[in-house]
Amino acid sequence: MRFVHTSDWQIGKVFRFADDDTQSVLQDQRLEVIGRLGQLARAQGAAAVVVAGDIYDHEIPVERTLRQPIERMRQFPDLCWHLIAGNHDPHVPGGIWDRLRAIGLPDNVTAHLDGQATPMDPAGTAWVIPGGLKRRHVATDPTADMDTAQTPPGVIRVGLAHGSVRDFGDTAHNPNRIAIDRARQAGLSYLALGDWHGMQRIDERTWYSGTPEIDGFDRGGDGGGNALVVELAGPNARPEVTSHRVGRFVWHRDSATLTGTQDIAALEHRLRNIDPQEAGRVLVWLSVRGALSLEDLQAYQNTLDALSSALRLLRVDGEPTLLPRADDLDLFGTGAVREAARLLSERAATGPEEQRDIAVAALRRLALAVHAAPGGKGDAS
Amino acid sequence: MILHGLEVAQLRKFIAPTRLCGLGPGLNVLAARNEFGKSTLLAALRAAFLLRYSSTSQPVRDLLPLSDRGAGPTVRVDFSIGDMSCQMEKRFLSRSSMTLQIGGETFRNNDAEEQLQQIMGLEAQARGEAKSIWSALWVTQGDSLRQPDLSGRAGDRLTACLEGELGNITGGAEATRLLATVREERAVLLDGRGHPRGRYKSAIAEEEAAIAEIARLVERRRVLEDDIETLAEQRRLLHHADDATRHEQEMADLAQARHERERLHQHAGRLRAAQAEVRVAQGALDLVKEDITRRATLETRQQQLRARATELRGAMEAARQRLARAEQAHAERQHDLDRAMTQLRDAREVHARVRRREQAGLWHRERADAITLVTRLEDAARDVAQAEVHLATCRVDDAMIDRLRAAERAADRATAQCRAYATRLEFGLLPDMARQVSINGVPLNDVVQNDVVQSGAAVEITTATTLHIAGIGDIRIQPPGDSDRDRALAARTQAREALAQLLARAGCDDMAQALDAHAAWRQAERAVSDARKKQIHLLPADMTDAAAALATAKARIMDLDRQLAGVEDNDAAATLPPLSDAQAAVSAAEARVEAARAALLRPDGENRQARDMLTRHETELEQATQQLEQVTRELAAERVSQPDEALSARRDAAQAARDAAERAVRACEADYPDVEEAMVDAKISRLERALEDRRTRVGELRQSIAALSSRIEIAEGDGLDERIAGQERLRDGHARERAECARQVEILTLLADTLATTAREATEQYLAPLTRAMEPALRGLFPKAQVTLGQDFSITAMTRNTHEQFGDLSDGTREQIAVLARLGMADLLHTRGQHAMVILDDALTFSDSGRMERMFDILTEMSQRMQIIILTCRAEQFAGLGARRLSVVSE
Repeated sequence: MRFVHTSDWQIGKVFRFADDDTQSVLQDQRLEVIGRLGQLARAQGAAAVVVAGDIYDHEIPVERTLRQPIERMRQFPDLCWHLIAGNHDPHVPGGIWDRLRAIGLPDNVTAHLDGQATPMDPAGTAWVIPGGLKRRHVATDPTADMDTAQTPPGVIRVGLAHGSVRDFGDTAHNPNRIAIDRARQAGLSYLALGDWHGMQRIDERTWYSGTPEIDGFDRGGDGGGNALVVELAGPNARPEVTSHRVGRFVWHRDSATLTGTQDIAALEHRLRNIDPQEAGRVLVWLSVRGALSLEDLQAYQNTLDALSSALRLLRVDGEPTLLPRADDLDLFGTGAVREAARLLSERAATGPEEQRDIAVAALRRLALAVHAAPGGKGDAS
Repeated sequence: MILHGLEVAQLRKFIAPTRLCGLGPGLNVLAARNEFGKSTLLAALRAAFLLRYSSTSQPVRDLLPLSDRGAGPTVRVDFSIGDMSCQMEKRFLSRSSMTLQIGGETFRNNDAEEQLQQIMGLEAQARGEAKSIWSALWVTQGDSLRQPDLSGRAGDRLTACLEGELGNITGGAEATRLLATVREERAVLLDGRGHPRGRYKSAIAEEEAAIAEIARLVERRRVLEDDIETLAEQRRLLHHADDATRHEQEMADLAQARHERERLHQHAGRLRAAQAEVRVAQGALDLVKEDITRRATLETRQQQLRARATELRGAMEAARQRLARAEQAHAERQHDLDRAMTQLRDAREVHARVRRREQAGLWHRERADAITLVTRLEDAARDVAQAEVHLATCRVDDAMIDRLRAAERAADRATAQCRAYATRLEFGLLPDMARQVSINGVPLNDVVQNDVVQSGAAVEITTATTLHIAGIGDIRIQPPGDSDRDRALAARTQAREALAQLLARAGCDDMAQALDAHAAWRQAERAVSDARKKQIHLLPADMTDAAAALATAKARIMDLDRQLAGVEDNDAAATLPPLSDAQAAVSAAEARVEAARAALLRPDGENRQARDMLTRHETELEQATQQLEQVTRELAAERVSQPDEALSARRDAAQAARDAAERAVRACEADYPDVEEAMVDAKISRLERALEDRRTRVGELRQSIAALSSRIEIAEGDGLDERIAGQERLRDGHARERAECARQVEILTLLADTLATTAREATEQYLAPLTRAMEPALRGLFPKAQVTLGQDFSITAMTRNTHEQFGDLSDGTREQIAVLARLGMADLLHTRGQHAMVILDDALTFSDSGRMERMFDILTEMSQRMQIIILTCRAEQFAGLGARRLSVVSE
């Protein structure tokens, strides 16, 4: 038996930090990855795809968002898609799953909402034992009923659940907690889990697939972008799990301390080489600190402008401060403008801490204005 | 720069080519009347240097002649800059073009504009208009009160000159330029009052809008959650309400309760029947008891009636005796009345005879009066008749005398008319000579009195007359004859005849006699009247006819005679008492009769009481007797129908029957179910209501669930969560944009403040030489005065004895300072080797003659270094300037 394990599609997710264009592209790719999952299943000879919760990001999505993943799955009638509710889309009365049921799901899509074991494919060699969530947070183990779930003898029992096998330090509030040895307790051949966005192996029969399309800079595991192809020769056979890249975007978080042009160049080189073939797939969250001379600040700004155009997204926190140098003031000539630059430089170096950033920016702006002026000092140099 | 020639055509009022002649270095004055076109020439000059030839802006359109709006205004200028000689020609609007010759080189159109800007240092502005130091130095009419606008390149050039004056670069101009740039950038984000604008304002507004939308969506989300919870609750309630088991149980409970109530009704029926039996038995017993009681009552009543009859008979005997005594007393009072009545009749008889005697005396007196009246009436009638006879003999009454007077007046009028036609002879004769004269044979003395003749008597002659004078002869006088005189004579004759006839009828000879006769007639008439009045006085008040009164009086005498004949003789009457005594006797008799009658009619209480008592006793006895007979009959009848023994037996049987019925009721009550019918009814009602409520509730819940489901479906279809997330993303984006704008504002503000500080410091350094450049000219006019300059080179204040703000100075002083400032700037530019030329259009209009003289000196001194052109309408005032006289020549 071979199937694809995926989770946490979170269709309709909103990326608050992104501009409209990027937001549109990111949302679009979260839908497109469903097609890539289907193609992966076909390519790998899998008969089914199990989605371990959080198909939607919101409990109440708009109608179009609600229908979009269903329509994508409908395009693969040869595959059986098995869905459960996650903490983002719990099966609450009158909720999203009731809406889906009212709409009517395609024959090849099964929403496991009642906790009953169901054949994974028409052959019935494997049965899905679902553990979907009926609320956003449940205090009990959503997989607890798997231990007693009835399946025909000799079939492969595949658990499908959404939750965490670890408490992440918050023992007081630890909802949707799943027993880490649930696969063994429930006699599962494989426990397909969702909730963690990075792929994670818990044990040989328990895996988190991670989200197929990365949606943040700070996700656990490998950050996501993969789907798992699971091969089960029989109920007691050890699952053969292989990870396949299905995500499009590379989410990269970086930091740099800049003190000169070399650091700027190194940073640029590093960021451009995250995906040198297709930088438009790369989203970068950069934390910057350091101190630069006025000219280096200009160079740094130019670099940022270039990278912002090259990358899908460049988010920058912080900026290098101005490293005052005596000859920097020469850039401003000898008159009132130089005096203004001197005052700003002094303020940037010794002024109130909360205003230094403003003074640096003002100084940079003054430098840019002086150099941009016809016959400015920059032209002369 | 020196302007050598200016020619315009098709420009406002100058349609034909018109040239300004006489221009040269130094002072130039064009003095001409108002509306000559001086300002038009300056406008043409400004357009040539400051406006692009291709411009269609309003200042260019203002150059069009009024008579031809399709023309192309043309300006041709000859000028030199240093050693460079230039000729420029610009044609605006229609077939616009430009030609510029610099030395031997010619430029056209845009190339020419660029060359012009280059050599003049002009700054391109919006809509093709340029501003420069020239704009400040060429003062148009009405602008002389304002200080020069030195924005843009004009200020830069001035600043450059000033910095050059200092000998080093202060950077003030650069700082000012950068400051302007920074302020422009900040103005993109903040308006003049420091409020956000543009994308900053949009970010704030959109962030607020997103927050509001989020709040709205969250509220909708909350409502949706409430609806979902309500829906779940209502589904639970529906499930509960629609529970078939409960429904069946309640139906069974209802049937049981109804059965219980039926059983209660049946038992209550039996109890009511037993209670009815008790009531029937009790009724029979009560009837027997009533019979026994009534028989005892009859017996008691019989005995009482017998005793009463005996008592009444005794009382009746006493009443009869009392009545007999009362009737005896009544008969005595009737006898007294009869006697009094007899006495009264006797007294009245005597009284009547005395009255008749008194009446006969009256009749005798009345008869004597009547006889007297008859005698007087007969005398009065005789007097009246005699007076009337005498009156009848008098013929001249009032009518006759009136007719006579009228005839006399007519004769007089006719005589007067005849006199009008008469010839008048007046005589003045000697005494005793009148008898010598006669008229128609009548001596004059007979015609007029003698003394009259002597004094001038006159005789009127109406007919032919002969006047004879004795011893002299006759004089015949013939008055002129005509018809009028004849008619007058005839009328006089007729009138006199009529008068004579009337006098004859009255029996008089003349009017005097007639008047006497009339007086006699009046006297006779008064005698008749007096006799009649006397006769009337004798008549009774109700009669006017004297004859009738006389006949009445005579008839009364005869009537009295008849009545007196019936009166008894005087002898019998003499024995009767006086009338007063007879009257008193009658009154006494009447009083006695009244007293007796009153005694008789006075209520007789004793008689009435005795009679009433007797009657009452008789009635009561009769009633008692009747009642006794009735009671006796009833007792006998009852005992015949039911003897006393039978009645007692019947009472015992009824008593036993009632006791048995009461025992049956107590047995039935003891057997009554231990359930309250009201409670059973309440249970039935409750169950029925519960079932009905459930049916209603199920229906309502189903409707509500359908409505809620629909609402939830709609709300979920809106995708609230996703929309909230989307709005939150927008809100965050706008917040970032707002923060970035705020940061940019902060940066730009800091930069602007810093640049402003350093620019001000630099300006303060180079304003000193500008002040020094202005001071010679200023002190020529205002000795010992110092001016204070602002960063825009405007004079902000002047210090003489006191510090005065520019705006507070008089119009004349401000105008002079504004002109001097321009001269100072031009001088500074000239000193630094820059082009400078000053044009003043109708300036110094507020200057008095003293200051005007000093201004002339200043202008003359300045004109040694630069060209100054003055346009004025006051030729005499500027005659003393000693300037070139300009003229305007049209082809």
